[in-house]
Amino acid sequence: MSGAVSSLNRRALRATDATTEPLWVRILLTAIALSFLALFLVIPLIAVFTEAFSRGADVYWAAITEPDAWHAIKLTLLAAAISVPLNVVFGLSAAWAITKFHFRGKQALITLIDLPFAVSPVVAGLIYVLLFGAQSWLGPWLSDNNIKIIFAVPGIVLATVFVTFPFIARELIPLMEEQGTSYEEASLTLGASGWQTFWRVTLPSIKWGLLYGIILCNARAMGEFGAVSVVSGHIRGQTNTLPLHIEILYNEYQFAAAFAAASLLAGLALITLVVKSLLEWHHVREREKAVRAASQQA
Amino acid sequence: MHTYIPRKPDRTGKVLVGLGLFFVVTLLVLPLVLIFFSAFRSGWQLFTSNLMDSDMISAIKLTLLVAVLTVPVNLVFGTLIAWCVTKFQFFGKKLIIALIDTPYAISPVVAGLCYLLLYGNQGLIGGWLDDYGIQVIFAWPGIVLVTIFVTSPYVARELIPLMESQGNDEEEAAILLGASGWAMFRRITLPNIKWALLYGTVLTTARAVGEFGSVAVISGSIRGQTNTLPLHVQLLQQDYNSVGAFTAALLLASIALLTLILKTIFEYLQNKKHTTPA
Repeated sequence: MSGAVSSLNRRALRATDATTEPLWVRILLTAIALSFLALFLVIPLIAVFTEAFSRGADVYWAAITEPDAWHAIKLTLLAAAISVPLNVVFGLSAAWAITKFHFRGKQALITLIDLPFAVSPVVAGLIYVLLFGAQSWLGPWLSDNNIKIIFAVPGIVLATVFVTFPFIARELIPLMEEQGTSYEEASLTLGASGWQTFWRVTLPSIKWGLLYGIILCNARAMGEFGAVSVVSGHIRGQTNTLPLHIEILYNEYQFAAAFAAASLLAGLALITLVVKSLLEWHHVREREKAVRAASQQA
Repeated sequence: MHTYIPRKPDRTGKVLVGLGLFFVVTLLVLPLVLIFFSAFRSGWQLFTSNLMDSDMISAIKLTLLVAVLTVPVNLVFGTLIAWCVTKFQFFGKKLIIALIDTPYAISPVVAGLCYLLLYGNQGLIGGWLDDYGIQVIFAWPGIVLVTIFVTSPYVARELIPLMESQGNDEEEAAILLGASGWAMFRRITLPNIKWALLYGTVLTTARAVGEFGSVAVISGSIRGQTNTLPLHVQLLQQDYNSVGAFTAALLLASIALLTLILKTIFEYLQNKKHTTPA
């Protein structure tokens, strides 16, 4: 039976003549899609790198190692190092809860996961100012206890967590929904504990999706601008993240330095995409191997 | 397909679900409710006078213009790309899939800078446009361009998983029965993806209206001229006009809420279509 499934799969992957558009239609559509992508995505990225290195590698290196820039890089790394693990835990448990259980409020949870996508980043920043700022309910208590959230690192982390909330859950939910719960049920029937089921059955089957979710979340966390700009206060050398630093440099007409810093973020984006492609390739290969093994057994 | 009845959670399950909902409520819902309170705290009159301020109105108009121009472009290209990627095998397909996510992976500031570089006066394309008297940077065309860039993945990403799970069977049947490509798209593909497409569009609209980072870099924030609503929120907050800032933020938050309500409706309709047997 699995042999039949695998041959069906292979047929579905390859379009036959009767279901294929004429050659010119395919070429035209592909060309339109590719040129759209080139015009809007690729050329701008190349431009950043050429501009960053236009004054030579020395200027580039000096711009990155300058103390304020270096501090901004460290702060950005710190914010990402705190917010990504938090979102991994949240994303995993949200995806797990949504795809494997039925409970009241499930629909609400699914909808709320998309909230950070729908809310403007400025508004996201403002709500934290509203919650933890000097004029808020919590404000007096926080200042009495000498806890700084707004215009400090905790505020930046909170805003980043909010904005990058959906990425991991959204990567996992379609994947876990497609896989269903039959393997988990089998594992539980065979006497595994809930935790064992998660480590031995669920995690291996979602690991590539989870990894991609993590690197995407990381890229967003490092690049977040709007929300962080509202809560951070732009104190140079103290609460300036890399994206904020780029804007300040640009507004001061230090173009070479601004583009050098921007090339770091652009490089991060490129690495993210390369890793994504590798993960996807690996995933497809692994699946093909499984199909082949199943058909040999049959 | 798997037909299964998911378990009802036991006690630990309930605790975990409760914990999840608690975090969602305190981190996401409560702050939004606070915005509504803050906007109306100083009375209805101050709210309306802030709303009728001429800078505010021009910011609202510009934001709407940008959304109206951006959303149709991304609707068409998102559908086109999702269609290409899920229904055909071709050279460069992997590349397209990877590139769709670029705007997610790249920082909004960097996106803004890219466009500044290309379309600015000294830029590759900007110099040429300048000869014809077309101003892109610090004007609405630039804002529209970066907004298109930043919101381009949403429609495609909504559609690709859905179209992939639906496969080609119905389309192949339509072609075998003699339908033309266009008729097949209109009668088979479009009805199948209708609700997801609508949600993608709504999400794109919300993002287009709320985009801040890249627009801040490219617009120059000229009050009454190139100030969009999110930029206006920040300006008002820096002016210590907090009621004004929260009034503008309220408008943006309402758009977000509307988006989520529409999402719930669309999802319900899509699921209903899936579960009712033909």
